[in-house]
Amino acid sequence: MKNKMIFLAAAICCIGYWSYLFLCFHNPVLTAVSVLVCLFLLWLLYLQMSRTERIVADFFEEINQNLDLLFNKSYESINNLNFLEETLMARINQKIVRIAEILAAERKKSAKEKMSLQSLISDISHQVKTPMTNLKMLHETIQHRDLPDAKRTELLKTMGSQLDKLDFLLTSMVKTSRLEAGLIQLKKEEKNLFNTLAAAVSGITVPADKKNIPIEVFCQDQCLLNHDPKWTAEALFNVMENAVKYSPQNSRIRVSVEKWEMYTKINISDQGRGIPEAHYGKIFQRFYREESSQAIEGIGIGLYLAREIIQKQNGYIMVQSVIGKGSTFSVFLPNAF
Amino acid sequence: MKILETKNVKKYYGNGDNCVKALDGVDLSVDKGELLAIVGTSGSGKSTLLHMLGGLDIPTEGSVMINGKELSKMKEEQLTIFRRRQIGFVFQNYNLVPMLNVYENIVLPLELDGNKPDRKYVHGIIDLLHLKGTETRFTNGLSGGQQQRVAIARALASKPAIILADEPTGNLDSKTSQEVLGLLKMSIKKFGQTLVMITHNNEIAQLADRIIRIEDGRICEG
Repeated sequence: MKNKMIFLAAAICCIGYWSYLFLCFHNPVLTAVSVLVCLFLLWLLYLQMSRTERIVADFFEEINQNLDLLFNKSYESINNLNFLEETLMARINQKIVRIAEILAAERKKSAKEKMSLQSLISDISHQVKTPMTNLKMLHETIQHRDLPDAKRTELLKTMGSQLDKLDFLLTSMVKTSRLEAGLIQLKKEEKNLFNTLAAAVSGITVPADKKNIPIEVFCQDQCLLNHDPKWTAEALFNVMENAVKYSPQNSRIRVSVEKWEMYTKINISDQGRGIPEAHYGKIFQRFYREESSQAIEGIGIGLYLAREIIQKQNGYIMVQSVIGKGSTFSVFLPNAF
Repeated sequence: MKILETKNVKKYYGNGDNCVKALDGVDLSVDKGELLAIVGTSGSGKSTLLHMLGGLDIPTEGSVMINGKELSKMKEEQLTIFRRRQIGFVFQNYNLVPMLNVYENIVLPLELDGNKPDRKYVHGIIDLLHLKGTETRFTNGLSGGQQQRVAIARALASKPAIILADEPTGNLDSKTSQEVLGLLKMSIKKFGQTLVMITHNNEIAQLADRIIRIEDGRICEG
C-alpha cells in the first residue's frame, strides 16, 4: 500500500514536470526526451519496489512455513532447517529449532513423570504384599487352630509387628506418592533453621537414647533461612534416623550448620558402618538397600524422600563416607532463592 | 531422545612408533537434559573427548553427532556458527575477557552472534548465579568462584542446547566447588539444558545423573 502511494506520487510529479517543460519551452523534442527518461526512471523504481516486496514476501513465507512445521510437530524436518549461516533467517530458524527441542523435552518429561508414578504404584503393591500375606497367614492360624495361650500371644505379637510394618510402609508411601504427584507444594518461608533442626532431632531422641548415642547439634540460635520448615524437618529426620539405625551402640552423631556464601550446609555425621563409594548415587534411589544391611529393618525410602524434598527447594544432598568409620551427609539449602 | 552421540571416535597423535592413542574407540550417547560426568585420571583422554564433542578438534576416525548433525561434515564457517549457537563452554581457567566488565562478558557470545541480549533472561541468570551488584565490575577483581559463575552465566546466556564443562571446579577450593556445582546443576535443570562435565573429583561427580569413567582413551564403565 505504502509502495503504491510512493509510486503514484512519483508519477504525478513526472506529469507536473512534463507540463511545466511543455508550457515554458514549447519544445516538443525536449519534452519527448524528458518523458522517455522519466518513464525509464519510473520503470526502474517499479522494478526495485516489486523486488523488495517479493523478498519480504518470500521471507515471511519461509518463516510461515517453518512455523507450520513447528505447529505440525514435524521435528524431523525442523532439525533439517538451515541454521548455520550468518543470515537473519538462520537466526530465526535457530530459535525455532530450540523451541522444538524444548517442547519435545517437556513432552518427554511429562511422559517420564507418568512412568515414575506407574512404577511407584507397582512398587507399592509389591512392597505391601509381603506383610499382607504374613498377616493373612497369622490370622488364619490364630482363628482355626487350638493354640496354647503362650503361642497365641506370641503370634499376636508377630501380627502386631507386621501391622506396624504395614503402617510404616503406607505412611511413607503416601508421603512419597503425594510428593511425586506434585500434590504437595513446598512453601518456602524465612524461618529459623534452628527450630527445624530441633523438630527433626526430637523425632529420633528415643531410638538414639536406646542405643546410647548422643546427638550433638552445632547451630546458631538465630539462623534465618528460606525453607519449608515442615518438609525440611522431615528430610533431616530421615537422614538422622538412618544415622541412628546404622550406627553401633555408644557412638555419637554430630549435626552442624555452616552458612556459606550461597548455600547453608547442614552436616550430619555418624560413626556407623559407612557406605562404599560406588554406592553413593544408589543409596538415594527408591527402595535401594545395601546388601550388608538387609538385617536392619527398613524399606529404602528415607534417603530418597529426603533428596526429593531438598531438591524441590533447589538444594542438594551429598555424601562422604569411610567404610567402618562413618558417613557424613551434607544437605545444602540455598540462602536466597 | 539423544542429543549427542559418538561412534567409535579415535584420536591418534603422531604415527608409527610415536603414535599416541588419546582416544581409542569411544562410543557414547547423551540424552537430552542429562547431567553427565566424565571422570578419569589426567592423561586418560577426557579433555580430548570433550574437545571432540564441542567440535574444537577433529577425530582421526569415527563420528560425533549433535542433534543428528555430524560435526566432521560441516564446513569451518558452519562449525563456528554451530558452536556459537548450540554449545556453551565452561573452562577450568574461566577464559573471561579482562577488558570487559561482568555484564559485557556474559552477553559477549550473544552480541558476537548479532543478537540483542534478552535483558530479562540475562538478569534472571545473573540473579540465579548470585552475581547481582557485580555487573559493572571488571572480572580480574573477582574471586575465583565469582569468575567461574560469570563463565557459567556466559555459557547459559546464549541458551545453548549443550554445555560442555572442562574441570569447571579445577581451580576452586572444595567449598566453592560444591557451591558452584550446585548452582550449575540447578540452572541447567531450570533451563532444560544438557551438561557434559569433566572432573577428576569423585565428590563432585556425585551430583551427576550418570558417571562414566575413561581410562587410556576408552570408556571403562558406565
